[in-house]
Amino acid sequence: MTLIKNLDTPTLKTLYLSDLEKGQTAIMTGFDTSKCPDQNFAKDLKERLMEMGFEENRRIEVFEKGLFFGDPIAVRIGHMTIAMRKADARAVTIKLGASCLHES
Amino acid sequence: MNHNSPINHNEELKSSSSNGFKVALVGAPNCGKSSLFNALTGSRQKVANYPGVTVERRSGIYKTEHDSEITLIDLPGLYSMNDRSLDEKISRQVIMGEHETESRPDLILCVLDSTNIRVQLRLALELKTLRLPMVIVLNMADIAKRDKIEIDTQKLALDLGLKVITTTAVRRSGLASLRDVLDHDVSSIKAEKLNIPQKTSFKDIAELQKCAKKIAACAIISEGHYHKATKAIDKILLHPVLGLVIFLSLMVFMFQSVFSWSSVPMDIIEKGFALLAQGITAITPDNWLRSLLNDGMIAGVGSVLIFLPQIVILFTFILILESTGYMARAAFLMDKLMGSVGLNGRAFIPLLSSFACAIPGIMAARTIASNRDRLITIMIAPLMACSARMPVYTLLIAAFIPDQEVWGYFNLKGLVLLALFLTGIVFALIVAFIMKLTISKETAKPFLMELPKYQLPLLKNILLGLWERTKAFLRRAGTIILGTNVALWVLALYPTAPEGSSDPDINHSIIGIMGKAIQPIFEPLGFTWEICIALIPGMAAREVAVGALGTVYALQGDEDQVANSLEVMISQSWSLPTAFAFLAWYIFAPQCFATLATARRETNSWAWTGFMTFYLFALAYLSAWGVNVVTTHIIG
Ligand SMILES: Nc1nc2c(ncn2[C@@H]2O[C@H](COP(=O)(O)OP(=O)(O)OP(=O)(O)O)[C@@H](O)[C@H]2O)c(=O)[nH]1
Ligand SMILES: [Mg+2]
Repeated sequence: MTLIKNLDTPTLKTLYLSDLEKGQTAIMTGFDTSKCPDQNFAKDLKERLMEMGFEENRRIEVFEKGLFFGDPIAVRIGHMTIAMRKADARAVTIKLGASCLHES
Repeated sequence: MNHNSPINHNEELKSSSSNGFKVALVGAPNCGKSSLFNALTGSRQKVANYPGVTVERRSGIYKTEHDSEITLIDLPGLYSMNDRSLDEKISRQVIMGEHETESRPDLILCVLDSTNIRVQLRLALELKTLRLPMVIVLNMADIAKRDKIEIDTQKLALDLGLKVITTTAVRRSGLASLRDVLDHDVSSIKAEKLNIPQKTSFKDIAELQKCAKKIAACAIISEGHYHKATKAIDKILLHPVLGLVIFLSLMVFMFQSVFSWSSVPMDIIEKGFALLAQGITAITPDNWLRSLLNDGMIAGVGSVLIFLPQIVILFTFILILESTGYMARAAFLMDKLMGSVGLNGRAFIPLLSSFACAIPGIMAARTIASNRDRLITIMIAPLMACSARMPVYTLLIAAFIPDQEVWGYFNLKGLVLLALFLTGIVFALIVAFIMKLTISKETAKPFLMELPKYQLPLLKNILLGLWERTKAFLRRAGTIILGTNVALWVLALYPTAPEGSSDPDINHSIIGIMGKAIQPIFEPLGFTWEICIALIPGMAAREVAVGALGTVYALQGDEDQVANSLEVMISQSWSLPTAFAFLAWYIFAPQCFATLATARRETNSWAWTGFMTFYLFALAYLSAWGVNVVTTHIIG
């Protein structure tokens, strides 16, 4: 698995689902909707993501990316494949690491 | 009411078996609710492999083995009771007993996709708080088995405190457990209805999710694996470059096939009608009856029915795309394009369905959460060339475009047809873009769409879908097209041509007078008065115009010309600019009452319906005029 560059650096920068390359797998750590343009949208997005199975400690794979600017992305989580916009993927925080290969 | 008294109880049981014990199918999108509904009630609701197929509530009757009747209700899928779109809202209203016309169901069949209970159990828990009797149906058992997913149903039943059964909606034998519940358990469910303890209601979704996770962890014996074929196919079909190339090739292939595969069956139908006309000529005297049958009925209806093979081929393609699961992939691939005009991939599905017919397309826009996006999608849906335009397009293409090969493989006719479709799409995007700039913005809605696992299309569903469509087409041919042609024929009888005039009678008849009266409006477009006449009934439905042209030209023709098909007549009497202008007109003109009525119902606004009608007519007129002028100029 290719690791994203600044992972080795000690500064712990938050990683987002939108940072993943095609084919990469990560473990979801939570939501961060602080970058969303408005609060209603943020709440709606978070709820819908949860309803579709986005949950802490689940394994997420970015399966495919669109042709233009890598948008939208197709994400595999459990037995579902979900199409979403990269901007919305910025609300999902993740961590990398081979130690977390097991789905909780 | 005292429900503990045995007498009351019995009475209630009786009433439950004779009238309205109502069972609602509730569950996430695409988990197989409509498939179960069809199998149990013998209905023919649309079933396809993408989320958001059902957008209305439908009811049907299930006959139990004791011949009593249970009302089943099929509902749109929903992810949670926190509805966002109109289709989800209908489901929520019915479940909560808030729906205007549908009373609250007595029992909920909570349908879960067995391969995804980890996520879908959350909805089950949420529904459970509603205090309605509920049975959990783990559908798609066959797929769970294939993917090596194992669920301990007893454990699940114990943890949920609900009855749990497994089904396979697509196999006859896969419904036994569900039939068993409906046949035997309904009365006891009715009895215990009021004894369900009040559940502590869940405060938020995170809590529900935690609980669902715990139950799933206990009940899932084996997680199984993701469908390998879907993974492999998606590597190709979702590929950023390859996927787009395949999508476009598919579209081109579709339009090529509509032409190349239909020619033989079309010839057969045409010959059949020619024989019929000859037969009628042989057995009837040369009087009004023969003219009514030949010119009024056969020329009119025959010239439309000939296009049945093309429509069947087009629908076969669309039905296959829908039932394999490709539709959602196409939406993924098109999201960026849709995004450039302010819509999202979600809107692509209603638009693609509009190629079959704009009405289900407009209905399907209900699945779009954003009101603005939904409105825009409804407004542009009529620009997607529906199958009713097929007869007009092909008729003119056949008459004016040579049967030529282009770059070896492509047929020029197919390419022109594709160009007509593309023009509609391009204008739809432009209109969407302009509307996006002008309609006030509301809170954006996220674009999240499940891509279902691929499935082999079920032959039965495809054939049923085709049959429904064919029936609708034939019914129209037999009613509105036949009716208008007979009416035209009658109006064309009087007054007759004056003595010594060499014109056919029709030119002097009421029809001729009317046609010539409105022709000045269409003069700049190059339309002849015959076309103007055909456009009048053609306002009701597009293909009616073809039938009307059939009758008008049949009445104009001499006896020896009658044998000529409409195609030949048109190629002889229309100029090239007229033909192209007519095609341009047809790309835009909103000639379909049913579509306008649906738009009115779905937008609930006369203003928007008026806007749609106006802008489409304006585009039709301007583009037909432009095409007429330019073509005239080019050919000199
Ligand atoms: N293999 C298999 N396929 C199924 C089963 N049940 C449904 N399907 C397929 O799953 C797809 C979705 O079925 P639908 O009945 O349309 O699902 P729905 O729940 O009504 O979907 P929405 O109306 O979108 O909410 C179709 O392609 C069905 O043929 C099943 O038990 N086994
Ligand atoms: Mg359905």
